[in-house]
Amino acid sequence: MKRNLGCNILDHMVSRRHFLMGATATAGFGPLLPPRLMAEMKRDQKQILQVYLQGGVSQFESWDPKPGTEFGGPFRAIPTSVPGMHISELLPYTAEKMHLLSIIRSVNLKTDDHGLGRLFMEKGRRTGDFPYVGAIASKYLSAEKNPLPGYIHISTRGLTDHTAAFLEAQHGQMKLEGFQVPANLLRDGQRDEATYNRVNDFRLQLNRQFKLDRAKSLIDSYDASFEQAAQLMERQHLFEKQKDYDLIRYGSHPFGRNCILARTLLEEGATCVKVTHHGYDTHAENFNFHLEQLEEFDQTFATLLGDLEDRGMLDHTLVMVYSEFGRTPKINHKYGRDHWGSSFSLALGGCGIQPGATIGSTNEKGTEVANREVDGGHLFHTYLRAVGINSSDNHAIEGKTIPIGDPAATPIEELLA
Amino acid sequence: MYCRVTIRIVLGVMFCFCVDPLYTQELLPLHAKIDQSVADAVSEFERRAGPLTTDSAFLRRIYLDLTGTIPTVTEARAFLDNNNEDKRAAIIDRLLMSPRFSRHMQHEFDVMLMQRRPAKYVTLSLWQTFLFEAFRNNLGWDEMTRQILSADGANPENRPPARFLLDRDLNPQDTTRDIGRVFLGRDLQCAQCHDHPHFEDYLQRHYFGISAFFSRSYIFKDPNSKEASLGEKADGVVKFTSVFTSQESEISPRLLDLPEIIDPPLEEEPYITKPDDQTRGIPKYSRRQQLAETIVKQENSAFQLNITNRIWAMLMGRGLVEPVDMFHQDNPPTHPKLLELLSNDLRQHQFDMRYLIRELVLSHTYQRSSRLMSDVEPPAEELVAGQIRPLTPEQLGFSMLEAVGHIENIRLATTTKLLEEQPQRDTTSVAFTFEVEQAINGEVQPHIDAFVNTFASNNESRQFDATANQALFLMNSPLLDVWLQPSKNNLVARLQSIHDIAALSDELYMSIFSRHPNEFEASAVQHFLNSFADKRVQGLQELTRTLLCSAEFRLNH
Repeated sequence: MKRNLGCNILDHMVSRRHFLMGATATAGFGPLLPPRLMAEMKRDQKQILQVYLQGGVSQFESWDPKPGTEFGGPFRAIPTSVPGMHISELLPYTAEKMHLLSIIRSVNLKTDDHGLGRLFMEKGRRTGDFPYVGAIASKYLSAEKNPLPGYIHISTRGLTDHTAAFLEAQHGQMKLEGFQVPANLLRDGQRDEATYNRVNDFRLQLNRQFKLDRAKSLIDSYDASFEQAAQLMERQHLFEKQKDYDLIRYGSHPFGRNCILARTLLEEGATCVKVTHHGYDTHAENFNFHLEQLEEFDQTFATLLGDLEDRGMLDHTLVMVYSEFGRTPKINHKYGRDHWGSSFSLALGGCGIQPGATIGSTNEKGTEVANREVDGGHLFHTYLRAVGINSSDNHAIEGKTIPIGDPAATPIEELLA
Repeated sequence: MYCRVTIRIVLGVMFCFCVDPLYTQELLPLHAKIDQSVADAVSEFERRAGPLTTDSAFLRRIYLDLTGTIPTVTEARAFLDNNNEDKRAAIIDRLLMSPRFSRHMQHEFDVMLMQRRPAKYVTLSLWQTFLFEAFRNNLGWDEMTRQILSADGANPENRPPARFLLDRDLNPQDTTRDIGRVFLGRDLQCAQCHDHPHFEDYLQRHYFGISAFFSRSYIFKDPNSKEASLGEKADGVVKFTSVFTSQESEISPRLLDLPEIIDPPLEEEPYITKPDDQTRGIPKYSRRQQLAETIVKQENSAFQLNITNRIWAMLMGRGLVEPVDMFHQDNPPTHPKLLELLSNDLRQHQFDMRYLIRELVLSHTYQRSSRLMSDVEPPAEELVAGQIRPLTPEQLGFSMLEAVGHIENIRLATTTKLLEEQPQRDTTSVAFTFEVEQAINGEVQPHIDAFVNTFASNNESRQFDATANQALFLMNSPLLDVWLQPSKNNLVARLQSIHDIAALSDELYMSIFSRHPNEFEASAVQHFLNSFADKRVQGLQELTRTLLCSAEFRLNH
């Protein structure tokens, strides 16, 4: 009964994978296509890649450098592939790809709280039980029989967020704890293909019976979670040893590996993939930490962005690089910067986004937004419009009228392609 | 149904004697008033309301809601075979006095108060014991609240309740927000920056009024023991600036719209112990104590409405105000008079939560079947059918361990051991059942933690977050394989010894679903088992696991 989680385990599982392909085919999924072909087929399906810099990346050390000013810190600004656009010298690889991205430098969330900032950035509302961007993408962009769960979050920490709100639970985020084989993906021993099918059919039969005269939504959600589990079991190759070619380019650290996985998931048809890079909450030693963190981020992210471009995926994939807030202009006595939600930046690119643009600005010292102030509500409309969802529509929920985006906010029209 | 009919007859009889109907209403027990109030709110209630649950569905539901687990197969058989008319009331009373009731309430209130925060200064075991004992002693919610908000954590007695404030690090944002949410039913998070953009009654002064109660308090770390406790200074003011008007205001402690609590004039020596690096500050006048005293007062109706609504939501699957932390003008209760009535009654009963829970589960509103009368799902707020809801991670873990017979094995072993130590002990005594429960709880805790890690989500939302990770756990986790190995008196071992298919199906269904299977289900069991031919044990294991993976098991219905 002992589980072997060593890295070779999948090599021994070939026959099992084979039978699972058969098994899930009975549950209504097609056979496995080679990734490239899958990507070809999915051209018309819009997708989202979210790179979340958890803890709050400093805008000074990334998208909105203010060298030589009172709060600018020690780093220089460098030119990018977009004439006239400068970013921090901590992002040299990304600088060469800025013609694929745009920067918004005028975000003001009016909160300095991790939780509130994150929810505002994800839900487009300050408060209330609303679905995350990823859950909305899963619901409205996924094909009816999507080959993978619609919203996958690769993160190494914390419990699962409640992300689906009033949408069906299968649109909530499925969390992968990094690039490792997910817990319980494999099962030792006894079960052969025929057994798997019998067990699956029997479970479905029990649930059909139970559902006959009861409210269906919870039971349907529950069934859907087993379908999604089967999808993952069918795609164990996602968690096989990553290629040296990729590891050298992305870096073999967890963030590099997680980004390789993110690319693969997008190629295989996940609608929204979120990768979290932890560790930007730099209340002390802001500069040393950003030097380390962003070095890891920069090369990996630039490689990922380059791959998406090379593979023709950028025209249907929205890329977001964002945090729950930025960091204070003021440098504290521990050389740290604290929480700052009132003037910070994020980068967007790919599907539906005008590349190479700079939206809004902060004042000379970076202490407040100088023009084109936006908040989580505006950004939310912008992400959704970029992937072709009419954010001023209502959710398709029976008997209720719930606007998708906050009706009080509007998209950043000049950024939309 | 019989009770509603009885009420009508009683009322009818009273009308004949020309008794004032308001007076007769007063005489009704609270659970009957609940049903009347629910019926009054829906037109054609008689026609639309579903029937009461069957005995087996009632039994499963009441066990889950009062003890956090399903009944043992023995208990289930005894209840279904019992023909006593008031057996539902009898089992409610028995379960309310059982140690499992305190344990289940401990879990529910832990999540409500702490939202699964990791322990920081106060160990989880101290905190959990505090909650368990509070329910065991039936501490009123007012008293519990007073202890939680006034404890400074400086001595062993008040260390556990101090976890609420200490483990939030007394962070002004978290603390203010959670006092608003947990004790007053109001999420004031956005009032923090400015008057709430959407809800007129969420005002900035509410937020800062609450934060002023503990703005003088701070975390004191004892230089010797390194232990953290709460100190307080004797002066200091809270200022806030509206982001809209840039107007700066000063505010004294104040609960919502109650009057401000003005500090007494500062004495020449304002401290009992003066704060410095070595000593925890204790002022003669403590604002934090004011919070603990004021929040429970009758004038602060938000306090009683909040707890009443939360208990209602816990048992009915949906609050009378939903979400439970969104009391405001634009989100009125579905049954305002009922909420008022229940909360006043709760106050009159000294915030005896066991009393309120008892009345709620005695009501027909609680005991209604979740089966629908037609294809059209009635709106949940009409309360004409029982709500289906997911089991909490703890309920799921304990129920699964009970169903597979793992807990029964521990129960037997513990009982044997205790009797070996003291053969004369009365196994039905309160003390004995508590000891057995403690032993079981201690032994299964690591398993329950595994369920919490897999099934809990990041907040206290009651929505169903069914994820693929959870399905993988249920389908493939080796943990379940261990429980499904035939061992002593566990389920698979029992099934192994039964060869008659009707008897086998019955034992299986009674153990897992607390009900008898129908003929169709028994033949499906036979069909499934036959397909395993000579691999009978594997067949029984897969059969059991599949039932544990079913919606009927995963949901409280």
